[in-house]
Amino acid sequence: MIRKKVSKIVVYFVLCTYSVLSMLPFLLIVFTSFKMKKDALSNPPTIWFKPTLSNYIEQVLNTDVLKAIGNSLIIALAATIVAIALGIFSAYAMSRYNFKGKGISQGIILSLRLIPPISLVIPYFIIFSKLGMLDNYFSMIIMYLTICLPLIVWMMKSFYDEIPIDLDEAAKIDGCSRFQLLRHVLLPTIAPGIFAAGALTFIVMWNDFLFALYITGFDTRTLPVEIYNSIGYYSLDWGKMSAVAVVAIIPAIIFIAFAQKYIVKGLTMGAVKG
Amino acid sequence: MLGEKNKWIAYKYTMPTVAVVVIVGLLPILYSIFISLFEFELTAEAQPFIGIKNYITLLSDGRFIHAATFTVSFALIATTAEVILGFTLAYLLYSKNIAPKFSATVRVLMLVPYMVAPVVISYTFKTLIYDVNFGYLNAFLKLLNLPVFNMFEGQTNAAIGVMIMEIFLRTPFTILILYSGLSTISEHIIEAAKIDGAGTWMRLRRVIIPILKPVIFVSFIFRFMDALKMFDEMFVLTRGGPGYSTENLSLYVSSQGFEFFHMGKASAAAVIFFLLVAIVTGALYITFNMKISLRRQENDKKKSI
Repeated sequence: MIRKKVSKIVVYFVLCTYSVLSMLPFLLIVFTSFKMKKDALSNPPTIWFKPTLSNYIEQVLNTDVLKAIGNSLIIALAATIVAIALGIFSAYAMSRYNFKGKGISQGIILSLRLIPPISLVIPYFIIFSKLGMLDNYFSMIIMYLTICLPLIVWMMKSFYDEIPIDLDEAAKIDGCSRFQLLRHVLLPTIAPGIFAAGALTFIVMWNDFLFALYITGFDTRTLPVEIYNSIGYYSLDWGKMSAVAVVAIIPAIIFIAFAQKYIVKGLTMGAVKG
Repeated sequence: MLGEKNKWIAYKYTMPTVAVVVIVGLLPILYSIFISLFEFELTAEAQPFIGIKNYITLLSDGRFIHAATFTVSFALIATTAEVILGFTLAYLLYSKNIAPKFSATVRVLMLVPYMVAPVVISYTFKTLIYDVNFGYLNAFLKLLNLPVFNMFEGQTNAAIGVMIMEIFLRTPFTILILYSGLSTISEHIIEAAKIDGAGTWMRLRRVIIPILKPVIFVSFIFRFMDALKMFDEMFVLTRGGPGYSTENLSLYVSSQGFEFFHMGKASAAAVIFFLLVAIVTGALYITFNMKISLRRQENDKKKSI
């Protein structure tokens, strides 16, 4: 009995330590974002300081950062919507039909996951600079489709797979056309899943740094690139840096709060049941 | 599955996505193979055709070879650590002697590092945590009278610093997958093993791990694939330094392309990088699938006897 109790305490202790450690960097960012420059850079780091909102007011409400937030939102939302629009149909076909070339089609879509992002940046950089399309929303959206299409199609296929085929047949007997079946029966059933898949891909693109670093420019710079650049100017003002970092974290926190149960499915593209 | 005569609609629904994928994903790769056959200097006027010379230069470039071996070994070590640590924590979360609510809370909290932008975390680690004078890690070490850890000094320290952060960032992924794998194991099997007198360790080794093997493999292969492709963390924390000791293939390609403007050479390296990821992942996948199907055949044979 005592042995059991001890092991229980050890398990709790290990898991508590792990959770605290996972949260620590974020607590530090939030904490530092309220520090004046002199408090942020003290040796050893201070715990007692007079909190200030000046970092948020000066740094986050600055036009460059607001513009970067806007760019990130536009690019990530547009790519997600295009991917969902394509995914609704192709995931349906892949879930419900056996057709010649299905394996190859799935292989082609999945093969995107194997391409290192930098291997796409090089040819895209040359293509876009030849076409004069660097620093352009449209070119960023095209590149992001390579990330979000496999994610969306695979998640949506697993959602369709979960709906019993009897439902399709019942709807057909009741006289639904195929489009009506999709629109009025299947889509409402998987709507929460589509929303979660969209949110997950949105976060992945919101967080992306590599594509944005080389393909965006002054006008379309996204938030991670803005953070990277501003650290050059404010390299010694950690308070300001942390305030922008807090803004960049917010979508992820919202997502975790609302859609965490879909994460497993999304990250393994349906290879593991969530 | 639905009737034969409706197959054309399956094509009509699938082809737009496949076409987009081919255009946005596979054509650029083909274009990059094409560029890799030229001495493509971004700053030069003419781009002469030089055949496979870029590939030959690369394979005799010590820096490229170093980047390739560093990429694979870093990914292998980090992934192994993440899977082992992830399995341990997932098993603790799954164990029956903790409250389900507590387990659920831990699983939500641990997602934060995984979902936040790697650039943001990397900056946090570089400044607030690893900094020698103002960072919390070293303040903590000094408090305990332990030697200071300076990740900006020496090659091993740099690699260790990135490795620790990478494991911290990515272990939640393996925990999540292994936990969902564990929770699908049927209670009856565990009960049966208990009745047969298997202790905790025996149950883990002889029952749980064998059942979980496919899931462990999935978590390994997904993490390994992404670890090979890692860029943001290395770029922010070390930028390949000191020297080029922590330069992985992503950083190598980007510095060839965007620092030296050798686009031809960078393309060749990018093509080799893609092939490396595809071949390594493919080989892992195939060997694993073969093992599974072999075992299945053996089991079928046993059953028929």
